[in-house]
Amino acid sequence: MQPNDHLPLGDEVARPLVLEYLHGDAYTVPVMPKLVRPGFLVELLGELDAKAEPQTLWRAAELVGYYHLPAALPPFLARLDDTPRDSDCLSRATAIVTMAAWAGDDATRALARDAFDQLLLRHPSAVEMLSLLLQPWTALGPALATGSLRRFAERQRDIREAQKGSSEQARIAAQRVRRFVENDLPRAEAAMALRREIAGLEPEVQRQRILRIYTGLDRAYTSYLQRWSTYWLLDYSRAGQAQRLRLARDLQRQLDGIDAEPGLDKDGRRFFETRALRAIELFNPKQLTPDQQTLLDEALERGQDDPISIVQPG
Amino acid sequence: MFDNGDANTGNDRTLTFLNVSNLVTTDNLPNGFGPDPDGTADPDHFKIEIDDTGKGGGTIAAAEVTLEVLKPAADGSLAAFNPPRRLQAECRRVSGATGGTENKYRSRYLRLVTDSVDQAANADQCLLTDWDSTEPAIEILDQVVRVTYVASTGATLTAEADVGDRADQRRIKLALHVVRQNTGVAGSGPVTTAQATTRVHSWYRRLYAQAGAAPRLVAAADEVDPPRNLIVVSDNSGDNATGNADNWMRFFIRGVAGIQYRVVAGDTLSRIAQRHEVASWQTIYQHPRNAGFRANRPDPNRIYVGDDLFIPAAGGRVAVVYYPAAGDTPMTTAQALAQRVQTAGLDAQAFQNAARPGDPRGSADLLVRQADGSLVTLEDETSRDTTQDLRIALVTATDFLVSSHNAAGGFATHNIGTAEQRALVRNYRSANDHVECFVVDTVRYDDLSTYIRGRSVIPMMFRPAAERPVLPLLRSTYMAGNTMDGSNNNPFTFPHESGHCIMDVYHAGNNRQLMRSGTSGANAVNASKRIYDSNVAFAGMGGASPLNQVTRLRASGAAVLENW
Repeated sequence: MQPNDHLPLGDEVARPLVLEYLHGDAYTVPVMPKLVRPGFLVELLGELDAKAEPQTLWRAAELVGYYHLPAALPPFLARLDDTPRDSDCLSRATAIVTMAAWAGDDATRALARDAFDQLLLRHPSAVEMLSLLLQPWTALGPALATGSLRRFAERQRDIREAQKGSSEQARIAAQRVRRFVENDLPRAEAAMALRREIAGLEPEVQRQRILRIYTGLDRAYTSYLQRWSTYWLLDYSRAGQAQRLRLARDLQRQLDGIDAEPGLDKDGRRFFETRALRAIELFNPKQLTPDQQTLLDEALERGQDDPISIVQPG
Repeated sequence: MFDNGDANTGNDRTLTFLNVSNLVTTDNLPNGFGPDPDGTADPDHFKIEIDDTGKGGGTIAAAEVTLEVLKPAADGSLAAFNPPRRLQAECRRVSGATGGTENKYRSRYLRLVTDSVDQAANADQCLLTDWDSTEPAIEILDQVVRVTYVASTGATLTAEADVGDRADQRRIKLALHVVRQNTGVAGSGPVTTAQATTRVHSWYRRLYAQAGAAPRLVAAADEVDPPRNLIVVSDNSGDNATGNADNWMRFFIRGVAGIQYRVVAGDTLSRIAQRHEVASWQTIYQHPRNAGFRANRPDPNRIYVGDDLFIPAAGGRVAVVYYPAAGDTPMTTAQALAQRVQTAGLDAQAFQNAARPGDPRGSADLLVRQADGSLVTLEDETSRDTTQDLRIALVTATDFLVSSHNAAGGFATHNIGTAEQRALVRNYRSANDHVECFVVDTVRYDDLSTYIRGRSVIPMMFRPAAERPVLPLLRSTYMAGNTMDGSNNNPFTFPHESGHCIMDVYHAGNNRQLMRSGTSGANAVNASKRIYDSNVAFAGMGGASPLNQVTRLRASGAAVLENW
């Protein structure tokens, strides 16, 4: 904390900073959330030209999510009909989904869902946003479990199918929704079912299953499950030193039994070893032998770190 | 004559050529007539020196000394621009005369600048050497500066100096493609090819003239259709197939008459018809091209693994159906799919992609074209294998997806780009000896996090081999329409993205540099448009930074440069 972190910036000081961010070239949010009066931000966003550059609108959207400004939503939504370009619409959709992800209350999430529905109905290319709904970090994720997302997506598919004769863009939009419904959604649903199945297992078996997903020995629906497995492991390791040592021992056991793994080719084995050793390094670095440390260092040197690298627990 | 130095110290350097200035016009340009360390330090500065023994007095009026930038004419002579690009330069007698300098008069320090904003910022000391919209073939670096003075004897004295060092200039080879919004509809791109070309002729030249370089289009800019003929196996994971039960995968090809299919375990004619979305099994069984099959298998309920069938198109398209075996790599699957596609009379090529950092192995691309090379349309892909997925690159000019540096892992997809990026380069890139530019409407990161004005694929020779991009992505750029349109907005963005490709650098810390993070949206004196030829600090370059951009451009960019 900086000494004056809690003091809001005056509006006259905040205005040029925020405007520079919206229209300029800076890539990071220029001021800390607590330093700008939220109401002032809502006013500024309300002043934005509907035909502003997509980059500007996206930055505005980012502020809506970053500062958690549900009050800024209505002006965005009110302009939907004035928006000539789908990319602008997508900017707002991003804002809405981002905000929903960051929001802490059901009312805001409900507002986001409604707004998102409206976006999809009005702007064909906003279907791109559907894929965001499958991301584990969105607050809309639970819709998967209840089936409401499938119902919603299938309705969108029917709408897009009806529209796809109208233009090339509509055909592509229909393709995207179809892909979502026919390909992505079943995979995400299967991944969710697997998660539920694992959640019902005995703790010891459950941990082994999740470790196998993390290390890549089990790669079914990897893109939906591996990040989840990472966060599960981190949560588990935060419980205490005993848990961290247990994880490290489990991983070592997997390493010792690697030759018995069926269907693991050279690439898969190298991937597994890197991830397992990386995790052991985190949970119990003393456990690594010099040879293992060398192997890990060489893998990291080749740039073969995992894309969802474990972060330091706690 | 033109020189740079201090006449009193004997440190003069007579200049036979003049460099385009790469300093901010309002900075470090002394306006006095005497020697100045700042003025002398920059080799791009120059002065006019006139030796007139009969002149007398301390000053030659500005009206008497004319500098003019001339362009080469077709007959080899030099011609004036219209309107003329001139500067009247007052000269003053060199003070503290030593070594025979008593009759010499010198101007202030002067600069060559390439745009009118810089020139206007100090009109007394800056001379404009710019492109010519009426003669776009004329290069900045082919122009000449002539100074004219009528001496006290009545004789007209002139001296000339080239703009740039003719013996040390480079051309940067570029290719420009405008991606259409609508397939086959000429002019449906976000900008015209003429507008994109003008951007290269104007802003790209202005910027790179500072580094003694100029762009050359290897071919005229063209319009290209958004391709939908590339499908990726395991795009997100590089995974082998699981081979789980009923793990069929499928996609459709438009515009072909039919395809061959080889029966696998568990098939029935009904299942084959259903998987291929053919209305009934009889349509397949009774097709004339399956006469031989019927002869061998008179009972349609008894078909055998390995039987070959012709599957006719239904609804204007035909399905490619495949059941990957457990452990099949993405490339194995892509090759198997290619073999099936070829039975439809199409050209199909499989490509192994590099592993995305963090993936066990690379994905594989399947590119499908007509036998004559023209595009076909793939659609409606599905995979029921629990690990191996299929994904068609749905290229659109609006919201064109590019790899994101923001994804967890930092360079998660930089080395292989997005499927959409690969679809463009695999279809339209003919060689890797130039910078390839695709102009789309809007550009977006593949994690959908933000819109950007442009993206480039940097060689990254300073990073581990696994993180470097693979051919043919190397040195390709993807530009939003608002950086290449008929306006002068975002003038530095394409030169910036191109700079990543040529110099092999990340971002410069100095906000007046071309390679700063996020170029200025408009032209101004302080805009990000300088290519300093002294060391500049770059982020993320480790021991390679700070570095000299001009030196770097020539060394790292050698593959896309050619001599003048």
